[in-house]
Amino acid sequence: MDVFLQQLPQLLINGLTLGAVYALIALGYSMVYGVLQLLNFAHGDVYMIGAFIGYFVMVAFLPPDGPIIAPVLIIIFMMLLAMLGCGVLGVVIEQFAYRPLRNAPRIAPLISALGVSFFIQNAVQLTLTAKFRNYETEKLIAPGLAFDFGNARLSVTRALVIVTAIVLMIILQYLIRRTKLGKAMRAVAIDREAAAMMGVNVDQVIVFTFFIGSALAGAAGVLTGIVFTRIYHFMGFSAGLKGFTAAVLGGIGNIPGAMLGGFILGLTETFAVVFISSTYKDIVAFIVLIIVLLLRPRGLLGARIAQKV
Amino acid sequence: MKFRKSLIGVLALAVVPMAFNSVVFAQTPTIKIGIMAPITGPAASIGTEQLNWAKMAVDDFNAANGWNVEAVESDTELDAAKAVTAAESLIADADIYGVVGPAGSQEVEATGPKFKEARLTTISGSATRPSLTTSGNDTFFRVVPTDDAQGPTDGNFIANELGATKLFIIDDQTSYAAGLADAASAAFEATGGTIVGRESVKQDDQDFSTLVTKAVGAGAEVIFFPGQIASQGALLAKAILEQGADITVFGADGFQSVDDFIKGSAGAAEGAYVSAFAPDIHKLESSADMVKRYTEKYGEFGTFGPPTYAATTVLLEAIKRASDAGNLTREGVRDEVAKTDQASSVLGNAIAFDENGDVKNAAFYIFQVVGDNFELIPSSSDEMMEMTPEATPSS
Amino acid sequence: MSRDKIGVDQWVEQYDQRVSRAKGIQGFIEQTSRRLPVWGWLICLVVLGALLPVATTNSFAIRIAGNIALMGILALGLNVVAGYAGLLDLGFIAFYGIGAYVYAYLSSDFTGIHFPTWATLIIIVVVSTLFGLLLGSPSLRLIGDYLAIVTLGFGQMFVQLTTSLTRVDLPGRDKPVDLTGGPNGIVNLDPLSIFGLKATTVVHYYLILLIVFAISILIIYHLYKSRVGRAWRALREDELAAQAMGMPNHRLKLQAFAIGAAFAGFSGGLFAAWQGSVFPSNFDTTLLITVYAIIVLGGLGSLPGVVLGAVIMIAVPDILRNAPLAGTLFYIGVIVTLFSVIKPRWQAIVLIVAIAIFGFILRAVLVGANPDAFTTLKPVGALISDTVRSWLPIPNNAMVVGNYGFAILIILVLAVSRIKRPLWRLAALVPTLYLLLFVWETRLVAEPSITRLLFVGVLLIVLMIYRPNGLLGQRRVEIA
Repeated sequence: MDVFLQQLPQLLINGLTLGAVYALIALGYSMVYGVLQLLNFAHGDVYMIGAFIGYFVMVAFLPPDGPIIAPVLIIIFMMLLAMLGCGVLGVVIEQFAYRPLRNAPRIAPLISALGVSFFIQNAVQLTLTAKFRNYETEKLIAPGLAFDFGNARLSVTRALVIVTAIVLMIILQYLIRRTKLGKAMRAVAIDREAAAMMGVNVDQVIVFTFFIGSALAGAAGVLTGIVFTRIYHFMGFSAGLKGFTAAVLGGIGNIPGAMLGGFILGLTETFAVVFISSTYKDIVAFIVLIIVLLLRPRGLLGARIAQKV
Repeated sequence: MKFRKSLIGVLALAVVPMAFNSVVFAQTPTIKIGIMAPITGPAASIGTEQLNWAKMAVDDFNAANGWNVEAVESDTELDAAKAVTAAESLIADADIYGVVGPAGSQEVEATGPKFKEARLTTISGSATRPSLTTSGNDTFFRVVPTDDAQGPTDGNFIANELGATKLFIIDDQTSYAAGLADAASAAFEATGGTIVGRESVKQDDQDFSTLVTKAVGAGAEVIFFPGQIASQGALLAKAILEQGADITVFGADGFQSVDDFIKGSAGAAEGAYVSAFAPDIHKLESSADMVKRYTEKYGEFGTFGPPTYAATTVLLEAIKRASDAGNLTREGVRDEVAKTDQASSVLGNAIAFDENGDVKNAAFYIFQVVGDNFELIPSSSDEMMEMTPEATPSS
Repeated sequence: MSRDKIGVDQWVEQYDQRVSRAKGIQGFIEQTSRRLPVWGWLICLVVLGALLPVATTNSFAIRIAGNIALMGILALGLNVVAGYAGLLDLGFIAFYGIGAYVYAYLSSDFTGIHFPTWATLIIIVVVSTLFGLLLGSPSLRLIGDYLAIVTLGFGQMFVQLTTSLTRVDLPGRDKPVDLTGGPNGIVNLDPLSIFGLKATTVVHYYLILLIVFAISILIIYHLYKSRVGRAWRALREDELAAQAMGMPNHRLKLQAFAIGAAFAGFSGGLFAAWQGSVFPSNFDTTLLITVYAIIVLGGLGSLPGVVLGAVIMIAVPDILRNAPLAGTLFYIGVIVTLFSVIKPRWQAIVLIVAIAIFGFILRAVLVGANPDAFTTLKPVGALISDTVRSWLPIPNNAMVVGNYGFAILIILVLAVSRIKRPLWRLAALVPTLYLLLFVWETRLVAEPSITRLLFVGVLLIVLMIYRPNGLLGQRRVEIA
């Protein structure tokens, strides 16, 4: 137990970093689900594309003889371009794979989403091969740079990831709570037809939702690259599952819930590794999920809505 | 809508018999070999490397002998069930005289009976589970040594040469890693050392920081991680460096990749150890030309490719001998493969098979990461040399 | 024609008749199919299927057919859960895995137990049904997509546990025990043996699977027509209304869940026997996706749909393994698609001629400008491919150019589908299709393993867009 107490701060740091990434992925899942009741299984692959966009931006700005501009600017460019690229990708996917199916049985867009996921993964493998690629984070942020708290060490990289994720979530929260667009999104989420009757442009709202959700996935991809450094064509698969889990844990369709779910999932996995075994970390995470759902069938922050008849 | 529906029906009616027909009757008088590898899916990085090396071996053989052997790839996605279908597709093609692969031990287990029945020879460049060759399948050969041979060497080296008493073991839930980890941990415990942790990760896990925290808490001196994916070794080394821990990484064959392990770790892998069944072929003068040609065409590579080249060459030469002897049948090729006696191979060692189909005189090498290189540990190779008098590492 | 039945809405009752007034080939098929009872169809299926081993000795073709039957049985079970009862069960493959592992435990040296096949199969059905109830009873209280995630978790847990339960400390044993064989799986399983006859060859297993498949269809068909079947459909259409009518919702869902699990377990047992071994990686998410794709492509809830879906999802990727054949199929596919999509057919011919001319001009201009930058591809021995290969200008760095071409192609295809004016669209198709041929010959042919999965992806999207109810699914009567 003593060892554990000593290690607690380090574990919290590890768990929060992981959780921040999960939370960003979960947000996109949750937002799309909120407005369309669609499980967007291609979301993990959008995240993967984000990681690759960030990678190529980094390579462009980091020739072997040293960075052309300040490393901070490079990181900002990576984030912005990845978010923009993924946002556009998300909108394109929506336009071509989901929109024609808006009134189809609920399972049809699910299968279409799987098709998109297959397509993106294999298109990336075809053009970029299956090789692992590495973010050269050490050239952007000096590796030794860290805050030491006793036994724990919070590297600047991890701090950057956690802070960026939280800032993005605050912006998102502002967008949804305070702007007109956010209001429209919430209206569509509650009742699409009623919102349309009240003059909300539903199509536009859905496009924005996909844009923002996918942009957040893109940001998550770049942050993953920065902190865990390894990216490859298949990385979206398990990340997508984690994001889905986190979204459901927090209450799917609920924005603060997705964030909370992400952080809880990250921390759960981290503590599961220490207390039980890394072998069983996914199982522990799912058991936690099942317990939460049995106690609160709509997730932690999911609202209890009376079923419409 | 109606029109489309009937069209789909007609198309299906037309295509299916035609498809089967051409599988059956599309016989041209050519010689083909099959290549089974996990070309897509999570292990695609290994599979494509194996595929590319096998293709290069075929090209080299064709160029040297003026033949026109064709390579037929068959994707297994590292799934035994898919591997069986893939195997069946190769078996059904009468022009195929031998198969390179499959990559994973579980795929060999699943496809073995089918290949044995069809008398089709398989030569794997990466399946290391010991029982594969001893279970009576006389059509299976491999150019790499088994876990039984390598694991104890690693365990003893960690205890005796590194002087470690507390070992932390991670496997990546593949039969390769689990087998090696078990063998090494038994040997390490026999020397009086303690295993302070045994963990598993998935091959797509990215975050090793908590495992490192746990290893630090357990007082580990060395982490033995015989993973297949070199970049995971780099992630582990980086996590150790990030937390400022004093733990040595010891990996196996999979980590022997300059690009993914050493460069991928951005210096964090410095001082790490890797044991491997093959010398780093980047260092072999005899293979320099091959390394150059491969890199120009396909890019950087790790450990899993070159053994596949060796396996392909063994197969092709056996086919040639069988053909010269006028006995170009699947059975004839199998007999010739069993008689293989190559004085040298791309791996730098001689290749001959024992009665089970295992490569004779398997050599092991232990390397330490110094700068951008894998430096051969002399003491380890001396020790190995006694075991393997014929192997000549030239680094 | 119509006999009024009590309790049946006349509109719904006459629905089938209205549909069957179709003319031409389709109408003929539909008329005949309506007259033939279900067992008639099944006899046709079995007889036709049994002819395959007579017609060919090609074990690959027979294995694919066997795989279709096996996946068909599995999909039938899922059809009950997802198609009839409308439950999104993403842990379905775990039951298939449970069946396979139970078979392995009861028929191998791993445990030292060698039960007769019939006893093993009965135990499999019992065990997998029990697991179905075990997972079902708590999770069916969850609503909609929450069920999906919990069952998905169950499926993942199964794979994880079979991979990792290799060193378990059991009370009463001093050494850790290996419960599952881990990633090495359990090997050397006994073959199926029925009345003392051992199934050893591909043909044996194929025939067994074919018969089991036919019997399964019969069972499911009668289930569908039964009281329970009707109750499930009511449940799927409107849970609340069903409950208001006094239906025991929870029990009905559990029944569907358990029956689905039993079918999955049974097919898992057959799978284990056929493969002769089981490994955790046999039961991962890819298989789940395949089985869902089968039932949704064919049409959720439709029995002929399951057969058609299984043929498409299993046969297509495996046929595409054969590269020269895939090339021929590709060109036939392109031509057939053109003729079926472009309405006045002469336009399709104009289009093909235009592409040919476009190609010649482009080739003349490019090669004329810089002949050193171009090369030729090795012929593959298939007529159409080789013709196209000699007509395309192939740059020296074909791989890189092909990759860029692929990216541009995606954008072009998406753009073309947005063009509304038919003539403009036809004109835009010329460079798009030209690029498609170029990318096919330079890139896709060289990577058959990736290409076939790309095709599966495109197939799923396109089929869903054009037939959201599946190929043979019935359009639901929407009551708003």
